[in-house]
Amino acid sequence: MNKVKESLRLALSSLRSNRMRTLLTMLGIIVGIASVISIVAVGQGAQEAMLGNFEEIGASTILVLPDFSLFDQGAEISLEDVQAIRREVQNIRYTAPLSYDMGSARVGNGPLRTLNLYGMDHEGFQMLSPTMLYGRSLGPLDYQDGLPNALIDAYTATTVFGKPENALDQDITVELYGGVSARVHIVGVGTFDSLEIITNVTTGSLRSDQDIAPLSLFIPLESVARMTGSEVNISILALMGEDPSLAEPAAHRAIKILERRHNSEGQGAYRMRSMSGMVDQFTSTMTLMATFISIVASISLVVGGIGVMNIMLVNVTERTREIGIRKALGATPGDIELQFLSEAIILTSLGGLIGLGLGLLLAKILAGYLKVRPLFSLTWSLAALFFSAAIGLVFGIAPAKKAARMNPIDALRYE
Amino acid sequence: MTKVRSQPLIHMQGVGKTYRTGEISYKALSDLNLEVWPGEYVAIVGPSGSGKSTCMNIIGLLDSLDEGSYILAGENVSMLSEEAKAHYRNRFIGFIFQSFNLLPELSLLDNVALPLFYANVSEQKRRAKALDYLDQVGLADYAWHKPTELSGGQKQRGAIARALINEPALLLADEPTGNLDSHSAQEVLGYFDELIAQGRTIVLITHDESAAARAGRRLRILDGHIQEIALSDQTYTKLDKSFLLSQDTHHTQEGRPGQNE
Repeated sequence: MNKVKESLRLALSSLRSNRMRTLLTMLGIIVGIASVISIVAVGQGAQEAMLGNFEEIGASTILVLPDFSLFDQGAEISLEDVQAIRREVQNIRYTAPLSYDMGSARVGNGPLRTLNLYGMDHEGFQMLSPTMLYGRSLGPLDYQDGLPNALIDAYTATTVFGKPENALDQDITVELYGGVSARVHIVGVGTFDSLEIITNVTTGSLRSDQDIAPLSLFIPLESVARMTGSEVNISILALMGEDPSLAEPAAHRAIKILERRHNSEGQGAYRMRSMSGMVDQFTSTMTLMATFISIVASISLVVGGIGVMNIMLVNVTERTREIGIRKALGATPGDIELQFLSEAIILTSLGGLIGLGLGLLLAKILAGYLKVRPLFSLTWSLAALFFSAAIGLVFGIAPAKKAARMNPIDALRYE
Repeated sequence: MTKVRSQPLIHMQGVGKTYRTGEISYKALSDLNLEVWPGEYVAIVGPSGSGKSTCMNIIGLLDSLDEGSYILAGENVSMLSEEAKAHYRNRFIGFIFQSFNLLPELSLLDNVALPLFYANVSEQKRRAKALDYLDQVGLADYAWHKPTELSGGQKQRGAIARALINEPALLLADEPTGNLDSHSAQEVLGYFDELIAQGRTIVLITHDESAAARAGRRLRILDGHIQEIALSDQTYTKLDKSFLLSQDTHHTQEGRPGQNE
């Protein structure tokens, strides 16, 4: 054990004596580990950001969507339909209608932006429970009187107003398709993590990378109706069952009610989408991406390991005379093998440690850019370090054995 | 220091060594016989290609013999494994090389202590002992210097300290003065004289006849055979002469020319 400890110390000393070469040799390992750690951290963070607390409700929630191509055949959902479903369908905790209207908006003297206007009722906001950061949520008066008060998500607020709190109490002129013009007053700024999955079905991510970021606002359904002066157009009906097993039967029942009310039985005017299925799909996509990127990073690690082996072989050749001297002084082949193997393992482990640190830093930078919170896993970090050491062991064996097998006479004669 | 008084330290009988490269073979040593007793100072001289390096490598267990036997300090070391040879080198043999062979990345202290590392001595103990041996060769002040900061003479003295630190039975010196100026060379040879006076056993491989002249016994190797023995009076008296006579070698005693002619 003493000899192992001293061999490791000797190895460290040897690596220190040629720092540039040591650093260059470690580069492949550093890059490989840094890539894996940063991508896994950001990926898991992005996954958490997208799903948020959605997993709590996802398993129990089904979306019912009218097929608008069959609008003439009665494919629509009205507020009265929602009331009927609330009355007639059992075992539903929330029945949340969501309307979507597109238009344009201008903030002050700023550029004209695309407007995504989402209308929800009180039950919808309860179900999706946004986390309010500034201002207030929408209250009973907002819904009752259809006031033009809106909520904005923090990401959009930051993009449009610079800071999320700057969006508070802003008045925005909106123009909806059909020439409807109105003023909307922002009363609250929050995060709408759970809503992302729903909006992805209609408009795509709330986080936009367009040059002029669109403006996404959430207002009461009743306010949309007042603005447009017409019936509210419900794009999605989210049904949350009392229990995951009850959601789908409830959704089937709701569809039956809608078909009956709109005389569209058997025409496929309404379809169902399981949110847990969407979550699973999203999760599996993220996992696939992370796996693919990890494979690519692992290839980088293997290439790094081959680099380590090559440099160690050069190292052994350069230190032939040293090997001969050590053998003359009493080093056994095992001692020599241990010495060079220790160097290889320390080299790659050190590279892994540096790669880990770099990966954490990269993850923070990347996550900041993507506006997600990086999630660092102890398991992945330990696995990265273990794998680095293993690379040293696997790729260090051949040079170590070459050194151990050297003939001491030839080694002593080496110039 | 290991001393074996009742038997020779080195007893080589009928030793042969052949080198093969493809189909070409070259017999470097043939039927070589050698005895070295504890406390002897033996010089082996010979021209290049005579087999003296091969002889030294076999004595030092750096190479294996193909024929014959080699008994070192009473142990048959003729057919040892690499691990066993390494242990014997560490315990019984101290090497002193022409080009010093100090490791440049280690301090002088750690160079001197290196044999103790392979003898599994703790770091604290081996550094303490190394400092003591450096002090004996007058280099204690240079303990933390790197070898590149030392003169040739200092390096060789450091190498001598390293060779002695494990208190080996045999010191094997291969052209120890080859890379030294005359002053440093005399210093090193003077140090060997001191070691002999202390009862050490030294086998010296050298081209330098004047260095060889300081030895108690001189052997000449030619074409893989030991052909000549020159003895000081004192050494000749101690030897088992039946061994000498059976080798059919020509030998002279200093100051007594032709006694056995």
